[in-house]
Amino acid sequence: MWKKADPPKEEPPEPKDSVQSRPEGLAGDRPRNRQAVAGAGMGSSIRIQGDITGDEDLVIQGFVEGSVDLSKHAVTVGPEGVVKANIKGRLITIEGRVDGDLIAEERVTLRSTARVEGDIASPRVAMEDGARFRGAVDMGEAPKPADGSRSSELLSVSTSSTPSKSSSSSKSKSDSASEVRRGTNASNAKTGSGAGS
Amino acid sequence: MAGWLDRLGRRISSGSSSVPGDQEGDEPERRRITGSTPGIAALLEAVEADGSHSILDLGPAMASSFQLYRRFAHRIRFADLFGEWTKEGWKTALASIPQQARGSYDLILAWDMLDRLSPDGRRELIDTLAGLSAPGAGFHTVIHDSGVETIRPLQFGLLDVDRMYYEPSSSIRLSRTPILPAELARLVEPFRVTRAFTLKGDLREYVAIRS
Repeated sequence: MWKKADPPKEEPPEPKDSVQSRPEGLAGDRPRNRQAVAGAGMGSSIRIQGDITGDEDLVIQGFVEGSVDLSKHAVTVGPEGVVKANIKGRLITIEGRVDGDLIAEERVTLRSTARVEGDIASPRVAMEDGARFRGAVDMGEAPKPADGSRSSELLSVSTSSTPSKSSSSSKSKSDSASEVRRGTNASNAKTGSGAGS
Repeated sequence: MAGWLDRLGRRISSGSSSVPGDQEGDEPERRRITGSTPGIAALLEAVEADGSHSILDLGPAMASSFQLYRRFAHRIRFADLFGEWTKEGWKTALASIPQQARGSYDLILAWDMLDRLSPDGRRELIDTLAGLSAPGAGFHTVIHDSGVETIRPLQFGLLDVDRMYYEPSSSIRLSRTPILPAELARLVEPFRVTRAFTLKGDLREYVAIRS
């Protein structure tokens, strides 16, 4: 009479790649629970003057002056972190303030609260809207033009909402010296869109 | 109407002056304007989106601009000449660009920097940029119409190769020495003006090529 109850379904297994096991999330994958990030943490009241080296990930919430060299690991400067040093890491994420260069083997991410003055060298760089930065970004050697397989997406895991150049640019290539053309009056307001990363 | 009432209400509540012509202390009008930028489109149209270029942006770093630049360039510098970084001013900011970068930039975006400078400063800026760029490099600048005597400094961001936004970066109004179109062509030498466009907001944008 009663509908036979379905056997309990098996719960899908917990993904192995949880936040806890990831020292640093991908762009768009923001580990809000910073405490869960594996590795060493440096509290906001801690001040270090000197060189930091080691073999684990590091989250800096305090003040560092000197150098930070964790080339094989993730370095995060939290919102309260202030670093006056060059930082070397595999993955570098900045939410606080850095006066110094950032050198990452894989990726540098500047969150919206970041304030960075220095140069960045990394094959991938992502910058969130609101991040303040002055300096140069060097994403490595210029790609070989013959390849054609490399696209801008390889430079960052952040997605871009902008269409390709070829689809959106439709102007004539016929420039002439000293020519002054009356261009379009900028109209239509699609306000403030697409500024995020 | 509602916007006008809102602005009036804010002025009354903040007690700020609404006297026309205030040079300073006037309420910052953070209105963002979005529109087309045929000048940037013309500039980027001439280069391949293959990440092989070097871009020097004299303005503050904008995430949306960065996203666009990296389609074209593997080296990008935001000089932020009038940012909060150096109290010494734009010359220090410009001088902080390493000497090894000389001759290396093939796209330079000066935005409204020329408008903010004195005639001597403009010449000095152009001379420095000429040293930082290679022959054939593209140069882009935006200036207010010559009839505009005071300006609010603007900050610009790119949304696509042919769309940008801009908004005042400060509440301070600056007096300026107007730049007539013919003067600009002389001013930016050795960059040679190839295109000019009129934008809304009493702005003109110019594209030039380094000789």
